[in-house]
Amino acid sequence: MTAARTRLRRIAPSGLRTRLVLAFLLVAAVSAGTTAALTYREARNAVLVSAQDTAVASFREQVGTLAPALPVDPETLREQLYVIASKAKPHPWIVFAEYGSLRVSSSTRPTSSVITADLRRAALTTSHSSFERVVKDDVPYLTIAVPVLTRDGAGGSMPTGLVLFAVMPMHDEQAGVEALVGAARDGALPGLAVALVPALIAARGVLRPVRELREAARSMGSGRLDARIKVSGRDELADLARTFNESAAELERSVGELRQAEARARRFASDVSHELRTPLAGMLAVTEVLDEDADGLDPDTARAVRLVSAETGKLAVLVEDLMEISRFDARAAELNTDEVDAAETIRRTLLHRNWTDRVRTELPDGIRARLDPRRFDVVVANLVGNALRHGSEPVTVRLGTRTAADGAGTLVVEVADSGPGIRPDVLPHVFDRFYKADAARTRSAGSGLGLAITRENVRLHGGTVRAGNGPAGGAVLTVEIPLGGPTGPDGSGADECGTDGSGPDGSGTDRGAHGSGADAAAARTGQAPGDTKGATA
Amino acid sequence: MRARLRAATALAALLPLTACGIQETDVIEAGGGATVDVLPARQVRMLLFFLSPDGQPIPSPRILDGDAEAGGQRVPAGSTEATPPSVEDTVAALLSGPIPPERHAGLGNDPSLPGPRTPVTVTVSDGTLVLDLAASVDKLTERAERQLVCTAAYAQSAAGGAPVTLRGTDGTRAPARCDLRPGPEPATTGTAPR
Repeated sequence: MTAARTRLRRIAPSGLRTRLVLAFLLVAAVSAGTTAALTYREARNAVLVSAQDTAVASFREQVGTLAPALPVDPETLREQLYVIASKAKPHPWIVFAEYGSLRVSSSTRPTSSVITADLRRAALTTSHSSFERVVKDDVPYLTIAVPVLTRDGAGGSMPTGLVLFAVMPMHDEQAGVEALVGAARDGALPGLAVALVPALIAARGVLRPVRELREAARSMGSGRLDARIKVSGRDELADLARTFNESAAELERSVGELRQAEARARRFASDVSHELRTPLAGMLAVTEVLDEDADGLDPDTARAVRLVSAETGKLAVLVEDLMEISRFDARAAELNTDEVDAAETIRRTLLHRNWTDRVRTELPDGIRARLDPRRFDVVVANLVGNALRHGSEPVTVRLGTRTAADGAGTLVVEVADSGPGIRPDVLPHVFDRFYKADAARTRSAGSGLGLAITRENVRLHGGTVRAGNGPAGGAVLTVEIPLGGPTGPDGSGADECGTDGSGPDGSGTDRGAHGSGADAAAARTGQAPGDTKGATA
Repeated sequence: MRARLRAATALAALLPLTACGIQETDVIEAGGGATVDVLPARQVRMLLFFLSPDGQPIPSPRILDGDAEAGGQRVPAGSTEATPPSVEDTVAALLSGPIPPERHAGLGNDPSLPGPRTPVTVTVSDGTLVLDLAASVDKLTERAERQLVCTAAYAQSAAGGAPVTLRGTDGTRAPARCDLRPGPEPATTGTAPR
């Protein structure tokens, strides 16, 4: 997902690389274009000015050799025009003459369609020579008009009324200018292509640190707080990398401290529970004795003794639960699985706690699953106890299997009560530690850790537990555990299966967990049935 | 975005510079005209100013020749070879109209000029040439006046600089000098005879 988005961004039109390359190309295009355009303009003008000046000067010179008799005789004039036309410079031209109504030319047509009215007017109304460049049918022509003046014999001159025009096609100049355009274009385009190379290099230089930064940020996001960037250079990107590294180091230090503190707190809870256990065991023994002798005491003392006894029992349960949770937190809880009959296991759990009369069961025989019998016992006992305590009877325990799409079978245990159900806002928190659905009920019958321990146990089996409300209104807590034992990513299943063979009752290397469980079970068995541990929902 | 827009504007501004190929130009002045020497000496010619089809007075020299038929040009009687022809003879020749070569070139008289054989007398008073025409001067057009003034002035002197007063049967015009510089008046060719 992230990779796909990244790739998308890399080719996106607004990407950094695209923008850098475009900016580079734009600058290159502007500079190349400007240079080419200015060079071209100057060269073109030089070519044209040179041709025009030559043509105008030589045409006027040729006209100056003309000595027409006035009034002009067309035949004589034509002969003279031929002479002028033959001396065309720099390119061949056609000579036209206007005199009065006479129109004579050195070509077959007496008038030219290229000569404009403006040029004619300028020639006829001034005594200056003029020229004009005209483009007709994509062919540029230079048209020159020279009025012929005559000396009046007294030092002045007067127009004779004779005007000569020369029309010179500028083929050569056109070819030259087109060659210039071609040269400018052929020079500019490879220039742009060459500019692409530094553009890409520059974009790479900017993008490489950005990419490293992104990789490092992603590493940090996925928990590798030791991710650092190689700082090279002294530019802004290097500053950014340095800042990132400092921030990352600070973050790593803070997180490390937090983790240490958390570990200390966890160890402390575990130590406290452990330290409380031994004196509590002694106290339990004493209170049992006191309980038995309570009948012989006066009523007030007897009530006090019974209270002390009950609270001591609860304290013992709480300490056991705390220790269990501590083991889960420390990831020290181990699973000792065995291939067992699920229905038989549940029946035994109910029997041990004298719940057989209060719980309806739908337990089909023959469902065999890889379970840790002790932990599964705790799961079922917590769920049923919770249902008995907070829901209403009858409580129903259903056992079933489900086959997932991939063919793996799942053990499904449902514990349903007939109470009012669980409020929707409470549902997500049912399995939280010490969660109180009703703030007023601060004193709970259970330790407040029962359902949390249930969830940890189910998780250890690779399964899930969820809370919901049945169609009839009662709460339904559903446990789903893979029939084949945990094969999830935590990989604990195989190991546990291996250690499973080490002891017939699966006590193995559980650092006394089983023992403590047995203690707890014994304690619970000693309690009133309703007082087993459970959530406080 | 704005920067990109600005760059595009700059590129667009450069485009006119790069307009390819050869562009048209306006009419550009390039020095004076070609000056030639085509007028014969004053003594052997008379210089008449006829109008071109577009109304410009155009000088037309006529060689004075003893044999009027030899040069194909009519020369008024009474002229001598030693001195330039008189102003009266020259103006009379103008009023007689163009001869075939001139007419062939499209030269002609203004229709408002008096007809041939209109008596003309010339007096010089205080440097001003006074042309007495036995005809109305009131209906002379400006072109006709220019023809008369220039012809008379250039007949009087080589530089043609003298002011000329036209006096007719019905009045006198203000003195005018010959101005051969082509005026900006639009060419109206209707008045020129073919």
